[in-house]
Amino acid sequence: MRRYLIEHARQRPGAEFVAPEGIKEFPPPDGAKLALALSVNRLLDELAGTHPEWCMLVEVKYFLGLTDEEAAETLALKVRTMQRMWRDARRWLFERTDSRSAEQSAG
Amino acid sequence: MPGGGYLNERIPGVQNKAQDDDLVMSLVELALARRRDERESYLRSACAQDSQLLEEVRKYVDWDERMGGFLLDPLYRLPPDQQAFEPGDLLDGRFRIVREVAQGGMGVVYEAVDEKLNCRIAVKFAKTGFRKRLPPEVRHAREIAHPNVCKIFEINTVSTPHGEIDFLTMEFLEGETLAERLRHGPLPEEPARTIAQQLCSGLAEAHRNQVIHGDLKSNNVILTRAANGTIRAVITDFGLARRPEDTQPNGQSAPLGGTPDYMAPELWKGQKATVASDLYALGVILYELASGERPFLSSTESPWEERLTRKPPAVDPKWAAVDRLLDPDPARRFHSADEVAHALAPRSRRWILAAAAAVVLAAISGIVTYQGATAPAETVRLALLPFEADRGTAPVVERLLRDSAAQLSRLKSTPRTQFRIIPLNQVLRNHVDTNAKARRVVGATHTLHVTLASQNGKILLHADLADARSGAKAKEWQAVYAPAEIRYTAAALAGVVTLTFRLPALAASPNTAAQRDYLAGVSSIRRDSGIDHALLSLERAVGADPDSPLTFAALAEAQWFKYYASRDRVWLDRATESARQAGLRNPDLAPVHRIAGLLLYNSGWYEQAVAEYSRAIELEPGSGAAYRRLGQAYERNNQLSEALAAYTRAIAVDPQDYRSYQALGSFYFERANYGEAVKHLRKEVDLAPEEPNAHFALGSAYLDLGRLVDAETEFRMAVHLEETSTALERLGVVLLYEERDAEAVTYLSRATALSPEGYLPWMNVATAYRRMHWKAESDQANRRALELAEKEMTQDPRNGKIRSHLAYLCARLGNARRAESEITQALRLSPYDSNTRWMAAATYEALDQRDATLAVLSGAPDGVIADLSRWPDVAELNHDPRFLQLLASRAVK
Repeated sequence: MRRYLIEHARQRPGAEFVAPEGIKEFPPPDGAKLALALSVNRLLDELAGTHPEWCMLVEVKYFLGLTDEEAAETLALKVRTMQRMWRDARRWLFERTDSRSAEQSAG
Repeated sequence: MPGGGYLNERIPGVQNKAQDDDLVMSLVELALARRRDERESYLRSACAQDSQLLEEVRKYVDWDERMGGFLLDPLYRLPPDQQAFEPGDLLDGRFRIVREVAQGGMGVVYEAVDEKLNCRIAVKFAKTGFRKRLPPEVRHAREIAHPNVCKIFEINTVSTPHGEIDFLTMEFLEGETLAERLRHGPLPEEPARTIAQQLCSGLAEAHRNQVIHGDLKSNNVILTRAANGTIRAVITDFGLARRPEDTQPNGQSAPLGGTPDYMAPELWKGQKATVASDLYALGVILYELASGERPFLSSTESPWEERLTRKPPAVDPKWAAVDRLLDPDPARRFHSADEVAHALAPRSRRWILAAAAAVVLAAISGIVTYQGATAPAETVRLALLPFEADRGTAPVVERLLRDSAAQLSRLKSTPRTQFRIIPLNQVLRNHVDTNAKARRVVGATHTLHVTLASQNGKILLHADLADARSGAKAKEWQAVYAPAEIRYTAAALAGVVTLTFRLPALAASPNTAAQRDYLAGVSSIRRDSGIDHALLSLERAVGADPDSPLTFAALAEAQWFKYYASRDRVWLDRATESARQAGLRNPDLAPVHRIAGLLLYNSGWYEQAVAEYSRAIELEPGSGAAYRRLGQAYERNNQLSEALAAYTRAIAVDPQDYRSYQALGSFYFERANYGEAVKHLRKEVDLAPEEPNAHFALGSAYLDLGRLVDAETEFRMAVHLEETSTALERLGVVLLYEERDAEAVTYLSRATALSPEGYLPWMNVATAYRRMHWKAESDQANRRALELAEKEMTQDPRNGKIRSHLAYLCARLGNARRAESEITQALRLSPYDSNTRWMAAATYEALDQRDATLAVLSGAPDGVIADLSRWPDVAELNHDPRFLQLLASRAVK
């Protein structure tokens, strides 16, 4: 799913994944947003080895924009537990993301 | 510091508070909601004495400040669900959308018509993209039935292209919110007090049902108005409170759980909403009612420390209760909204309310307080403590204690609840006589503590079943025994225990000598025409086995039916006494609950009646009668879907019981769904063609359908089978419709002669006389009817139908003011009862208030309007173009 979204963001429609409902209608993001997404995408491959559940959480929260409640339901977590994990995962990624794209995103 | 104690309590299951996600995340959110420069001092007080927790929360807050919105703007966002509905849309094949009424923080509200029950309702959806699923608390909120709580009927689901979405159907309320009202300035003393009392009463009922509101505020109170301007304050959105973990569509955390100005200090510390925090919010609303202002300046202006530690400036001393509600320490507030109402009420009324409630309940069921349904304990180790006795009862006490222990040792566990009684010798040997000792020394989870006191030659027994840890009472039961009856206490106490823990009841059947009469009696009760026969058999059965709770319960039921048919108080008193006798022998048998339910229902204690029937069903799931009566209690309490489900179940478990078809038919009949009504009532006549009541009920449906000839046939059949007052009265009414007034007088006078205590025949014969211009006779009959109706009303004060008749009679006798006040109350008590609406229209016509008539009819079911157009007594309506328009608009549909 994440790969599909990244391919879509890079305007490469050839991905073999089925588009989540509604995604086709969205234009690909601009440069800064794309750069951040690509760097998060790279980091997630590393994260998957140590914290696979954080990785899934970032996919649904960041790549798909689910609400906290939806995300918690998807991962079968309590909402508060999910929120804490999301803060931990964001911090992990923040510490490893190059400062320029992080700033742009935070701005 | 006050309220700071929360963080020093141990949270079960969590060793270390820094690991408690709920607590840590709540505190993080609460801190982030403060201004940046206040956060550190806030955290220091909120995490007082727990440096580990402080460290952990501070870490998240610091990182939040550094990360800003990092990753909070997602790469993509799934499209929000489209759930806008259009007027005319039909949901679930049943609810027709009329218009959108409001869009609020919690969702979208539509006005709709329930086409099955033919009434106006509100439909509420969670807001688009906000939440598809309703929180589980709503399911509990549905159980609340109280005039000051917005009634939730059902939780439904509708399928949309984006998946399933929950929606609520609820009572439709027209009016402004209390917040809107307060924006126009403070309220005068009198309505403010009325609203305060009503809010306390509604909140108390919710808390009894274990439902916390969580976001109580003046914006969630709707003020509706009855025709004469009486205020009805209704709390909405129970169970819908936005919990802190809810989120906005952009993934950001929503503002705090609750609305800052109404948030209790402990909520600012991350604690969950409780009864105490609801009471704080109630205090804020009462403060607004008393002074027109909120207790603190808005949250952005007044420093949060002030709210956490101080009470606001005191209001008018007449509202002293408010001060205690706004105490920063939850433990020092009132414990329940009932207590608040009590403190606000003028003294005389306080006493009357408390006394009336205690007398009726205790007389019938022995249960002193009906608690809301609580989840039964999984493991019960009960210690029977030594009885406390006075000098008069000391000689019997030892024996009773041993007998009781023996009875309790016969009780069985259920798959849900493991039950064990701790051997009495073990209790006595260790001198266990308190909850604490019972817990410590013999490992009890619960204790049964019994006090015996002699009083005027009788013995008063009081039993407390308590949780050994907290000391909280699980059940309180009392009964008065004659000395000869005291031997029944052992089985009765076992009944109290089975009732509390929902264990199987002790087996009980009448002895062989009573067996035959008992069975004959029970089977005769199943037919209205068998009641006299049942009375004879069951009196013999009681004579043969006076120790059996079952013979007494069955006799009580027969006596009740006798009362129902004759309306003679003597039978009601006898039924109450027999029911009490049954309860003294064992309060927890299905027939005992069924008769207690009937008696409570008959006095307007619908919620308690529901509790009795529910237990009866639990003990004997095959009893159609229990389901049917459960349905009647729900119906009277305006819980229509529950009623319908119960009636349907009654027929499913006992399809040969004609009375259940009658109940279901009458249900539809009252909701003016005559097609369904006739279907079920015909089935009833098929099953019991020799029962006059069956023909009577079918005739009534025909009458309201305007099928006068069919109605006359059925009523004549009923009169032919048995000349009862009710059948004669209805036949008279058909003749009134047919304008055969002189003939009507014949039957109606015979009805009054047969049953001089019923008010309906008097009321209708008065109409016939008036139409024949016999004014003196007419007035006399009306006065008699009024007198009798008042008597009936004092016995069943929550019955809107009786009150509507009372209103009509007042109007006819020229007491316009009282008529108006009674009709308003009647409509409020029974808003979905078509009969009450019919009478309201007739009353306003008698008062010459055409506008009010039309207003009442605009919300009435079609059948009521059609029926009035046929009633010769209000023939003038048929000349009013507005009425004709109304009639036509309904006929088209």
